[in-house]
Amino acid sequence: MSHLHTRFFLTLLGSLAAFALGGIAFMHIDDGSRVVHVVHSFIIFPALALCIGIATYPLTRRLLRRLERLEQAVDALGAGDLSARVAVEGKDEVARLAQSFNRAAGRIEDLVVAHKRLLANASHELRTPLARVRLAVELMGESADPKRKAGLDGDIAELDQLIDEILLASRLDAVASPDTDEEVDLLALAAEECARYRDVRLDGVRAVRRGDPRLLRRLLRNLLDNAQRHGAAPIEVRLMRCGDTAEIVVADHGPVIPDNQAAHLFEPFYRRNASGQVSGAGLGLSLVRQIARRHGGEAHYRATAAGNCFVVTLPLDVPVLSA
Amino acid sequence: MPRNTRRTRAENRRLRFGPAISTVTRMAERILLVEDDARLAEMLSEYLGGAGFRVVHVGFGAAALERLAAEPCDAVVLDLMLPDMDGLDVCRQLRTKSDAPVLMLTARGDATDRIVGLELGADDYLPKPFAPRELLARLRAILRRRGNGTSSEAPLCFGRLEIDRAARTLRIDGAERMITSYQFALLVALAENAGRVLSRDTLMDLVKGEALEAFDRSIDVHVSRIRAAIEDDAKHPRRIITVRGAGYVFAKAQE
Ligand SMILES: Nc1ncnc2c1ncn2[C@@H]1O[C@H](COP(=O)(O)OP(=O)(O)O)[C@@H](O)[C@H]1O
Ligand SMILES: [Mg+2]
Repeated sequence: MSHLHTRFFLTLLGSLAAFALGGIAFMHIDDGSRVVHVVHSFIIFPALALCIGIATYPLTRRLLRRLERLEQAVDALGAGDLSARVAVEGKDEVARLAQSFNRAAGRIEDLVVAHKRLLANASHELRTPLARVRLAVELMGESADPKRKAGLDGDIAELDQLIDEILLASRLDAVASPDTDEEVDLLALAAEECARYRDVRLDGVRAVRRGDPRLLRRLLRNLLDNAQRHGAAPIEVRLMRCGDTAEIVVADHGPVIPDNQAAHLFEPFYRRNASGQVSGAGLGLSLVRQIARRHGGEAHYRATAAGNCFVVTLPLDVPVLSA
Repeated sequence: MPRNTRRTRAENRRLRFGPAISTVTRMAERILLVEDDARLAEMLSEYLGGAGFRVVHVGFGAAALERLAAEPCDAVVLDLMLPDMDGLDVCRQLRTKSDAPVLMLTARGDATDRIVGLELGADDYLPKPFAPRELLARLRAILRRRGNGTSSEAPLCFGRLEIDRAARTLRIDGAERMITSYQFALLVALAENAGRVLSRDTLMDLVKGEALEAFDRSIDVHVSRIRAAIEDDAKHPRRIITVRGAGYVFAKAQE
């Protein structure tokens, strides 16, 4: 009795046979009276149903239990418990379903673990050679042309940033919960990032909230880096408070971005002028938006009379979102 | 002929590594370098050797523990990712065998970035790709702290800048810079609040206890003196930044 349908079939057959036997026994006391007739019609069908019900009850109950357990496991897997598995009992269809579920869950778990390990190692694997290059530049000492050395240092920083962006993009997708939740002084962070450039003007008020300082720094740096590389001076950064929301505006005076292109700015890998000399993976703005959303905020583009504006809003008293 | 081609080797070395205090005044300090990337290790040995350290290199965690049991060293530079063991485990076990300070090399973005300082017992850590001079500054800082006795306050390190609160000294690339004691107090107040905007009033409050030398000078004048001592380009400060209408901020991420 391995298959579910044969089991059902046999149970039904059994209960029908039992019923037929009972019926035949009952026929013997049929004397043609009305009472017996009424009894016949009122009892035969309920008795038939009851017979089938009683015979199949243990079977369906067990079946339902197993399906429930399977459902629980599927739910658990969906909720993120990658180690969720079901016990495989018997050899029927449900057992096979449980087996395939376990196989699929195992495969998902393997893939996710591999992905995580890759992410964890990739940073190290990619940065060790970069550290070598940096050391090599330092070891060249005074013999090297200082200009060329500075250029090399710039290239290393750019590569480092690119690695950071690519790894961050996949990390933000893969890891739901925030790594750090600290008090961040947004004005101080903006001042620090603006000081990396010669003539970026900062205007702002104090705004402090909890968040991941590394991500918020990356957000500001990407916007400033874009204004510097794709926009035109002067660059202005404003930090404002509107009620319980902080608004960070990075404005430059470059030519306004046409509407049809502006619609795609925040898409990953989108670059307006992919063939141009300005390098970049096109991940910057998509990261800006992802980081803003992770902190319960949003990132927008806005064209102004003076040029291009990128606006990030961040609620000030909301804890970091975990999704 | 450009002047710098006539520099002596010693001069070149001083330019690259700062004053070679350790080679002159005491025996070269022994550094155990635990790093599985052979070429990086080779270059690090050369670099640290040039700065006056004696470097012993091993490529495995187990070998590091063995080596440490066999002969003591003054400090350990430990890579977080080793082929045979997790660097964190090595660090934990190392701690039970020796009290040499540990400088951990991580990679930025490692989740471990943050745990390291908190729970592992590494004295300091540095993300790859580190600036070689920063590595030197931090290595010297942890060695010095060990020399001062463990009870003293840990020096504050920001890139190549080291603020030793216990000895009240200030160094960049290992070379001491001089400022007045009031200015030092001001710098410590700023550095202890790195990443936060401090108004001039708050700053004044924080250094109230200090003997008021030159009380006629404003905070701004003192800050510009400190900048002259610690900024690479005092006209474009990157360490102490003015925030218009708000005050000053000491940068958290410095070179
Ligand atoms: N301030 C700006 N002015 C003009 N164009 C911009 C500006 N910021 C971003 N862009 C455009 O948006 C594109 C996407 O930006 P981003 O996601 O940061 O990628 P990347 O900078 O790597 O190219 C850029 O390639 C650029 O064409
Ligand atoms: Mg960009």
